[in-house]
This record gives sequence, structure tokens and C-alpha cells, in this order.
Amino acid sequence: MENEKIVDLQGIKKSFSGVPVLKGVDLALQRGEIVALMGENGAGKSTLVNILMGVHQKDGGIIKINGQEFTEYNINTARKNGIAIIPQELALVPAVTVAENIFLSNRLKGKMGALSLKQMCIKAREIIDELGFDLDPSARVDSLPISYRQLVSIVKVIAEEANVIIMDEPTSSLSSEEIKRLQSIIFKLKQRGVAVIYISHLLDEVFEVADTIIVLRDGYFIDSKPKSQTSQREVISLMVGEELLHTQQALRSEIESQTGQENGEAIFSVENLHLSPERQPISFQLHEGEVLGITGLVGSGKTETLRAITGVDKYKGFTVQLDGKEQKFSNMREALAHGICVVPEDRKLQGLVLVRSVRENISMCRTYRSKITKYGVIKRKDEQKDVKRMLEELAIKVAGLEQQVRYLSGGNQQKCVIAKELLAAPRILMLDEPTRGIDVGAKTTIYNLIRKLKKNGLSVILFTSDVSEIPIVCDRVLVLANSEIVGEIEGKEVTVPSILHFAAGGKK
Amino acid sequence: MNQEITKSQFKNTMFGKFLKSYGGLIVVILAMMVFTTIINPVFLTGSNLLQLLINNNTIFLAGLGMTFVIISGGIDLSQGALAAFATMVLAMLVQAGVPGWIAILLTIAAGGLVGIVNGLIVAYGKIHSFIATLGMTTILRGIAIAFNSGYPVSIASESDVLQFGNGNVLGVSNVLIIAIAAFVICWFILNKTNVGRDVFAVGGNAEAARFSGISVPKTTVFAFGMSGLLTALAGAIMATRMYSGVPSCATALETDAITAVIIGGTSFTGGDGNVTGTVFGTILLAVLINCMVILGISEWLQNVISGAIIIIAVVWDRIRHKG
Repeated sequence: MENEKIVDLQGIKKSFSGVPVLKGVDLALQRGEIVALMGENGAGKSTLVNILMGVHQKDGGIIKINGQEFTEYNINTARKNGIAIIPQELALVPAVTVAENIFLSNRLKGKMGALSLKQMCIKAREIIDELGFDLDPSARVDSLPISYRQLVSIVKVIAEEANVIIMDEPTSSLSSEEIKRLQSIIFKLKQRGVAVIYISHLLDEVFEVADTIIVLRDGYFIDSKPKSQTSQREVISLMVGEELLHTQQALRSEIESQTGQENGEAIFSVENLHLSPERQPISFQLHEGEVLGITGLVGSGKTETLRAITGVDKYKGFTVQLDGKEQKFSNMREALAHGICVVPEDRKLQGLVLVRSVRENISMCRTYRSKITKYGVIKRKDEQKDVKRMLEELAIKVAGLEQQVRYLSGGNQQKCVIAKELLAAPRILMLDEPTRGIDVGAKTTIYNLIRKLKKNGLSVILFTSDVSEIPIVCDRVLVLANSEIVGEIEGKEVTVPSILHFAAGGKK
Repeated sequence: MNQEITKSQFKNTMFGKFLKSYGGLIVVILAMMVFTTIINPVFLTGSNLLQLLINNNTIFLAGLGMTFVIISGGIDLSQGALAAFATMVLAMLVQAGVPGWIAILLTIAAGGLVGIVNGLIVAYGKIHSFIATLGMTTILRGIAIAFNSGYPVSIASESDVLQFGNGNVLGVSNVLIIAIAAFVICWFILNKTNVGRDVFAVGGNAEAARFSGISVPKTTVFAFGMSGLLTALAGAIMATRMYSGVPSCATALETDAITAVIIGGTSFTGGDGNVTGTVFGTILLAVLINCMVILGISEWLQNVISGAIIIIAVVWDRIRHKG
């Protein structure tokens, strides 16, 4: 029975344009086993899954499916071997029926080779009943709520005779009742001998469902443990690393201890921002020396809010106040001139000029450069002094001031973008997904930095979709869903479950 | 004290960096010069070398302008037509009795204006500069021809304006002085000033430049304005050396300028390069053509070789910027 491994990945390696993302990762799966794949954002979970799905090709390592080793492994091999994924963003065709979606890649043909909707409905019904779902195969997918669409995805992979199902954050858009139902479905699948790879941020959920927990960190395989032999505390420590965990916990307890303290003056406010005409307008205030988090799922209006404030996209009828005075920014330049600095979402596309040096990138803000300019000439010594100071303050590792930024690691690149904005002497710093795709160490440095800036009196707005970082850095968080604010949580109350409760549509 | 200078330390000195950037070009230029001299010693005579520098002055000036545009992420195809337009403007102004130096200033200003229009079309019309300046080429040639129904306009041989391209100061040709002055000014703007920094940032990543509070449209207009000014300056020199304005002259000026700029190591994708490279690019191009003439290589073969050089330079640029 030991050889009953359906999936056996050994020492999988993968790099993207020279940057190693997986550095020798193992993943073994037995029939009817539920494995939770855990790790911070950027740990390599999705890359690993994509290799198993045949979307990406491995650079090194062994892929064995049902004991057979594959050297050529692609999407078709994965499908033939019954490996299927229920993606985070559901890949269904909204305008056709449930049954048609279920048989999308596996069409049932009637007489004369024409597609038979009737037959598809009958077959779909059989599978749905067998699984004990409450789903009408002739309903159109776009008439169903999100959670039901998830059921359609599950039925679809069952109909394709999947024996390994990957679920990527399956509960991110489900209510607590629906989560319960999904769990019972997973147990049903388990009884049928289906193996499940369950990817989630939520420890409670994982400990409820999983048999085995596999932890990845920065592309390394850290550990694989049966649920009974580990604890939530240990899993977090494995995910983050013990030392960094301490740092993060220190930051967290600092926030908790400050709960209930008087806020500084409101320095910045947004009123009546209608991202969508049917929704409640977005209004909020930012206090002096506060770290405000703004979070939400994809499409919640997070990015749109930032773009509206800084004048990148034009919205009518909303007002922005800075120090009690109404301001209107029609582009980034005007926002910068008022001391509002943005660390954009994509450091390579929006943050840095990759072919230029560390020095030139860090001193790139026009507002900063005009301060060290005399008669139109940049004072090189002042520039070098300031850049060196920033490199030290942010602990940016470079080979020299003249090194091109494209040769730096993701974390150091991100710190360069932050350094650049800090030199522009911001009063308000807005960070858009500042820790995306960087390793846990660099993340923790950035968390520390944000808290340090706050202590120095800077007001910060953190736009993030990585819910796990909010309790570590934010004094207060606004949760957006469907272009409106659905929740506001402060101090001690800011926890991952409380944020997710709102993000998934929970009531205030 | 450290007696030894390590390799990496050397690389970081000014001279080390200079050699790293341009050493290859200098070696190629010297090799061509030695080779040609061995075959035909005429090459190394003072008059030939001086003539070489003076004759390629227009390419150099246009190349300086092109460097700004290419670093900013664009291309200016209207240079040839603008130079011809400028020769006509100068000749007609002089013919109309405008004093020499005012005529020259007006010509250069007209060029700057054309450059600014190019820049405005690219920046605000959101049209690729290739198309915008291609259109401008046709317009400028049309106007240049219309000025005198397609005929050249001659400049009277007693006119003082002719000193501009033919005279000298203390035995040094005006043309050389102008070239050196233009180079120093361009180098200074590009490397020491805010607007120069903006040009690199916009060409390297316009989006990041925008997020850093740099005005992308203004910077684009500036780069094309520089190209216009310098091209008109080249045109003014051409007119005084030809003693006339010729609407059909300078037909491939922009091609030569682009070649000089790219050979000089300025990246075609923008954001990287320098006018110093353009100096060596122009010299290499000039020496190459001169060598081929002296070696008696037929004109069609010269074209083939020049074309091949452009392609090799661009491929080399790609390989260099990959690593």
C-alpha cells in the first residue's frame, strides 16, 4: 500500500528569467489523501501547482504519476492522468447552462454527432445527485451565486474523472455556511478515493480538512507533517521562520497595546467616491501617524480607489481633503507636489527604470531632485550622500551606487522604490501591494520599515490583498467588496478571520 | 595604502568606465585607420583627416539631436527633410537682406519649432514618433520645394553669413568649434541637469517616470526640440558650405545619424546611452566611408557595407542589453 502514491513530485526546481522560484520541492499524494499546501505569498505554491497541472515545465526534479515517471509533462499529460484544478477565479462560461459547463471539455455527442443538451443534463444530474449537491443542471451559470458556481466547478472536474483535485483558495468567496458544505463535499470526495491538494491561508480551515500539511517557504520545501503531529503555532513558524515570526509578533503586540489610544488629527480624507453608481460611495479619513490598510478581493475596488485619489483615472463628484483643504489631483505629479507619494503595484513596470543605476532610480522623483539642484544642475555630492543614507536606512543590498537596478533581487528592488518615494519627503505614503512576490525576510523588513515610518509621524495607506500582513502593520483596516466599504476594523480587532469575514460579504 | 587596484575598482574609475563603454569602438576605429594607411598612406595626411571631420559635421550634429530622441524612447525621421528645409530658410532670409547672424539664429529657431511640433504630436497625439516624424518629413520636403518652385536658392558669395561654415578662428575651423561646443552643451544637459535625467527616465520606463512626478509630455517635447535645433544648425552649416539652399539635399541624414548613435552604444529601446558614444559612432562611420573611398571600393558595395554595419550594431546592442 505504500506505493499507492498517485502523485509523487521529487526535488522540483523552477526558475523564471533566472530567478529561482522553486528550489527542490517534494510533494507526495496518496489516494484519498487531503494535503494542505501552505506558505506565504511568493513561497512557490502556485508555481508548484502549475507544474503539476502541466502549465509550467519543471527545470529539474522528478514527476511520477501513479508510479510512472514522466520526462515530458504538459497540460495534456495532466488531464489524461485525471489531475484537475478548481482555480481561484472560476473558469466557467457564464452564458450557458450548468450542464454545458460541466461537459465543456468532454462533450457528449448525440445522434449525428450533434451536441445533445438533454443527454448532458441527464448525465450531469446523475453526478450531482451522487455527490448530493443541490444544483439544477439546466440553470444558466450567470444566474447562480458565486458559491454555487464553485459547486459547478467541482462537478465539472468530477465529470472529467479527476482523481486529484487542486483547490486554490476555494473558500475565498464563500460564506461560513458554504464553507461547511464545501468541507463535507471534500470528505465525500475523499471517500471516493479522490486526493485533494488544498491551498489556503486559513489555518482553522486547513486543520479541519487536511490529513497532511506541507509547508513551503521562499521556494524551499520546509516540512510535511500529519495534522495530528503538528499545531497551528508550529505551522506559522514553519511558514514564516521562527526569528521573523518573533519580529512579526512584536509588531503585532505593539499594535494591540496601542489599541484605543487617541488618534492624531485627520490629515487626509476622501469623501463620496462613487466607484460604481449603484454602490454606496467610499468615504474615509486618514489620521496623522496612522497606518491604514485598505483590502479586498480582486475587483473589490481597491486599486480603483488609489487610482481615483491620485488622478490616474477620472471619477466625478468626490472630494479629497488634505489638512482640511480641498485638493484635486489630476495626475501623479500634482499628488507628489502635495506630499502624497505612491509606491506602485508593479515595481518593474511602474516603479523602476531597470536599465538605470541604483543612484538614478532612488533619486528619480522630480520633487526630490529639484531640491538638490542649483541653476538646473544636479549637485552630485548631495545626491550621493542622500542615496547612501537611504541604502543604509532601508538595508538595501547593492554592489554599488552605479549598479543597474535590474540586477537586484525583488525585495531590494522594492526597497529602492520605497527609498525613492521617501526621498520625495512624503507626508502621506501610499503603498500598493508592496510585498507581492518578495521573500519573507524582505517582507518583514518592509513591515518593520512601515512601523518605523509611522513612529516618525508619517501617515501610511497600505493597499494590499495579502490579508495575513494586515494585522502585523495596520492600525486600522477598511475592507472593500464590490466597490464599497463593507467593514472597518481597528486595533486588536484586526485579525485575518475578521477581515475575511467582511471580504466574503459578512455583515457589519 | 592599497597599492593594488583591483579589477572592479578600476572599472569604477572614470577612465575605467570610459574604456569599458567605448574601448571597443576606439580599437575598431584605430584598426581601420592603420589598415587603410598601410594600403594607402594618403589616409593619414592632415588634410584628409581634417576634411573627414568637417565633412561629417552635419551627421554629428544631427546625431547629437538623435541621441536625445532615441534615449527618450523615440526616433526622429524628419532630420534630413528638416536640414534641407533649414538650408532653404537660411538662403531665403539672407536673400531677403536679413543680417547673417540673425538669419542663422532664425533658422535654428525655426528648426527648434519644428522639433517642438514633432514632440507635441508624439506626446499629446499619442502617435508613435516613427509615424509622426515620417509625416513631418513629407511636409517639410514639400515646403522646402515650394519655397522656390523646387529650385535651389543661392547665397551671394560676398555675404558675411558664409563665414559661419567656412571661416575659422585662429586657424581652427568654425565648423569644428561649433561641433565641440554643441557636444559639450549636449553632454552637460544630458548628464548634469534635471531635464537630462528626465530624458533617461522617460525613455527607460515612461510609467515609472510618471509615478516619479516627471512630466512625460514635456520631456518628449524637449528631446524632439533638441533634435530640431541641432538639425537646423547642421542645415545652416550645410547651406553656407554649399553657398545655397537646396530643397533636395541631406536625403539620408537621419539614417546616418541613427547609425552613428546606435554604433555609439545608445540603446534603441531607450533609456540608455550617451552623446560621447555618438562622437565615436560618427568617427567610426566617417572613417569607414573614407577608408572605402580611399581603398577604391565601389559605391554600391559601400552601401551594402554601411547597411550591414547598422544591422550588426543593433544586434550587438540587443546582445549587450540582454546580459
